[in-house]
Amino acid sequence: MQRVTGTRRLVAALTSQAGLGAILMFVAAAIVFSEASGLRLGTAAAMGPGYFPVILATLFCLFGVLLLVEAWRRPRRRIDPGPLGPLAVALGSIVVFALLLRIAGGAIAIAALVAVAAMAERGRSLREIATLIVVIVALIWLVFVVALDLQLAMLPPVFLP
Amino acid sequence: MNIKKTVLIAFGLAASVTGAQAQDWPSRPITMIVPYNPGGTTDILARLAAEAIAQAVGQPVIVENKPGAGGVVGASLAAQAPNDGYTIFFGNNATNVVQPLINPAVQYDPAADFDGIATTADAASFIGVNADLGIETLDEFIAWLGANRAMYGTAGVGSMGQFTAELFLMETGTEATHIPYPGSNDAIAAVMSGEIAFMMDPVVAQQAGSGRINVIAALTPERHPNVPDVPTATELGHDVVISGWFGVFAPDGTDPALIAAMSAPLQELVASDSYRAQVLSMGLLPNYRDPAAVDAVVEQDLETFGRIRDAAAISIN
Amino acid sequence: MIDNLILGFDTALTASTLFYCFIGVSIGMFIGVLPGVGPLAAISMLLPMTYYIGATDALVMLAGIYYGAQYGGSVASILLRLPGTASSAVVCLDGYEMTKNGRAGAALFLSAAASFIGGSIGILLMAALAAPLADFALRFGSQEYFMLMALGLVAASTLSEGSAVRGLAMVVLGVALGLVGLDLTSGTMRFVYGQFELMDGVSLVASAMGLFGLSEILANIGRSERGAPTARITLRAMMPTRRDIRDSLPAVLRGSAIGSFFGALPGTGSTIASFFSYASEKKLARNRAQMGQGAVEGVSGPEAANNAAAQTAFIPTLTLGVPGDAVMALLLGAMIVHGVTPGPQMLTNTPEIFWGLVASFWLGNLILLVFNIPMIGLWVAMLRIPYRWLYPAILVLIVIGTYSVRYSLFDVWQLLAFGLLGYVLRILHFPTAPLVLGLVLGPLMEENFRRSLMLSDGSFTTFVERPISAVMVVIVIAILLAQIVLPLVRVLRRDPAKPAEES
Repeated sequence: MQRVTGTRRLVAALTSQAGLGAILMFVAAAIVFSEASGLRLGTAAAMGPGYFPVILATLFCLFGVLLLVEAWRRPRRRIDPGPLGPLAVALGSIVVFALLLRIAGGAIAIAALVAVAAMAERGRSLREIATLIVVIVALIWLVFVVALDLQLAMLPPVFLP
Repeated sequence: MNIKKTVLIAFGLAASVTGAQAQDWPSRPITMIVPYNPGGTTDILARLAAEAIAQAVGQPVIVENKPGAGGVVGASLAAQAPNDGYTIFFGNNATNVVQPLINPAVQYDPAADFDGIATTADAASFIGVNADLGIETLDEFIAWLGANRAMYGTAGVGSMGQFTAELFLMETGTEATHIPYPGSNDAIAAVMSGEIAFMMDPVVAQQAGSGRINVIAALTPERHPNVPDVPTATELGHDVVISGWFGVFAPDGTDPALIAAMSAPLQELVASDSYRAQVLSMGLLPNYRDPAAVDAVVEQDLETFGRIRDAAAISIN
Repeated sequence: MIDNLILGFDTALTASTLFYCFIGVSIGMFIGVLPGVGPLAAISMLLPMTYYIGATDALVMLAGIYYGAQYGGSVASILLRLPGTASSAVVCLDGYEMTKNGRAGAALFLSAAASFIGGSIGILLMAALAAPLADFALRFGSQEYFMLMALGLVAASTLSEGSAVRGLAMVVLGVALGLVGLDLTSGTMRFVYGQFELMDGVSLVASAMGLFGLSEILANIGRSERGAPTARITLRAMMPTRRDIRDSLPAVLRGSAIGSFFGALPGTGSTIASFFSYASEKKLARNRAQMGQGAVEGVSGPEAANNAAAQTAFIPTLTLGVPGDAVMALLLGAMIVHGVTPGPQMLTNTPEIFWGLVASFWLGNLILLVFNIPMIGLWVAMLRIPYRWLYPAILVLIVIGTYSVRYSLFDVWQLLAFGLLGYVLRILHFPTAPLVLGLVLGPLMEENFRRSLMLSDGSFTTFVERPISAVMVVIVIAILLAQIVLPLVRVLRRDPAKPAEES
């Protein structure tokens, strides 16, 4: 094992698995502390809403420090984020659904979700995507609307005043 | 049944394009916003009311559940809805009195943003005391409160149970510590186990005769038919009458003729035997108020509950 | 008791009651499989229709939906890492690993069998000991609830692979997320940032589906040849081996005991029970070293627990008239509408309904078992659908399921956030199961802690003054010492020059 020292080791530690975990903990601590600062602490007999958050934020700091120790010792454990393109596409498909549902109705929103999500895999024909859309929209309609009677308008409600 | 619904909506839309006038109201289905989950007390009452209105006006009344934040989510939506008679709201005194008083996040004004259509039922509250304390009558209870550090449970800060108990304590000049629970059922379990001494809530009536809780008084104007042996506080010389209610509202500025057209079938509904039987079995009291009376009860409760809120410093923020 | 059971079966075996029992458990099973859609939605939908049938038939059917959902919940957990119900979230951990190992059939079989045994034990306890169990449950005050939750959170640090620090960090993150919303004790909004939707707290459904189901898709998408379970199903892989059964049995019995306890306790229930069972299997199972990598105990223990809890949850409802959760409150409402008064008088006033329900529960469990075994082949065949076709459908299912809980787009955004969080945590090697447990237990813990001190006027000794609570204080301290402090001391003392061992 080659000894890495100084700034390079610090950067390596902070960008290692544990190092990024520690950063996550400190971010969580900061968020909780900032909210808790506006809340009453109270007394033991009448504990305020800020009591628990302060305890939790302190714990986050403690875990952050422990993870920093781990990071310093094992700076070589890197993260593997995986392919980011498909990840963005999958998340984007849900965003598209959420934006479309109220203005275009369930059927179009689901179709858009499926179409966008399908882009994450290469080499699909239009026919394949169209078939997927038809099958999935039909299944959702049968299960959630016909069978379960959920309040899910499949048709576009654009005409409503 | 949902295909039918969809088709009906489509027809309704076509009609609305040609211009909806009060005289051809209702030309399409009416939406009733219910600010709680399906299956609860408010939802069951709302569906009964929706059916009655639908039969009278000849168009479906579609119930839409919009739960969240103690009913505030649904009420906010309803307050902003167009006042064309096609969106109505099934609320109660939590959404239309209590929440606006205690929750600064509430954006609507219960008196100005809603027009009352009708109430369909009142909630009846009872005083329930842990049976091991050996308290049988209201006078014993008040004496005991004066001599002990008592704790009472509720379904949370700003719940009807807290307002009820605080009013009682104010009127009788006694004191007790408020212990909030997540719901009425958690609180009543705590009264049964003796963790707390008492609570004032509709669920108490179900424990009459259970041997774990003594139901010592009703806080209603008259005795409840389900528990005819339980006297009212008024009978016993303590004028504490407080009750919640459930009713239908329209967004402010809805044509009074449309409001009257929806109120009339609810009056008939509340008078019907089958409705009375069902509402009584749910522990409530059937009670119709006409549009003017609904607006009056909102105003009056805003005053009463506001007074209790200020005296007991009840707020959520 | 024999006479009572005969009376019960006499009621439950009439053609119409049996029919409604069948309908109820089938619907329950169906909605249990669907992620997000819970028994609450199905029962409230059917409630108005039951006004036209008899009280016993109505209650038998509605109750069937409740416990039937527990059976269905594990199916999607095992096959797709998609918790059908929150109570089967923990089954994802080993169930989905078994699927990846080509053992989906065995996992489903064990889950059905464990559910049946767990349910049966719960029913037996309900028939024999309903009244004493209810009395026992009432002895649990705020102090005991707090200690129980503390016990659960401490045990949760052992819930997943890897270091106790990471597990505990996730528990605390879960508890912190549980702070969001209206603070029950003071009526203060916390972490709401002006969003109405956050006043009721973080959505449990969105978090479980995001952290388990959606993050799994995010990790697999675009790498079709990786991760997604392949279907090489032989008949042998469909059935559990003799060894699986031998290893599962003690887990099922432990899970049943844990489940029966939490079910009878109002305010806790099958979700908490399944997590406690998983945590105890982590320590006690014969294959504890393989937990998290497809150990059979990780499926059969929690499944027995959540089904036992679904049955004993009827104890406080029926004998005290105090429902333990929202679904039970709805069932209680249904009983009252039908003129049945739950409570101590129910056994004397309407014994045929009480015992008819008990008998129908067992028949319902039997129907579910018989129903489930042939379904296994069908479910497993679903895995033959190529992942490139399956994942868009799963995505839609997750999104619609989350949306339908309260028809809220805000919950869809929450789902998205939790999916991303789950993905980040996965990259950073943080376990997600403790986070969900923290989210479930955190609010209960804080609320009961603060209430205990309100009741005792600020005296912390209240936790050791009550016998049951005192015993739990000792157990929690013992676990903390053994599980966390000792290894921590060891880690901190370890010479950094020595090669660190991989966890």
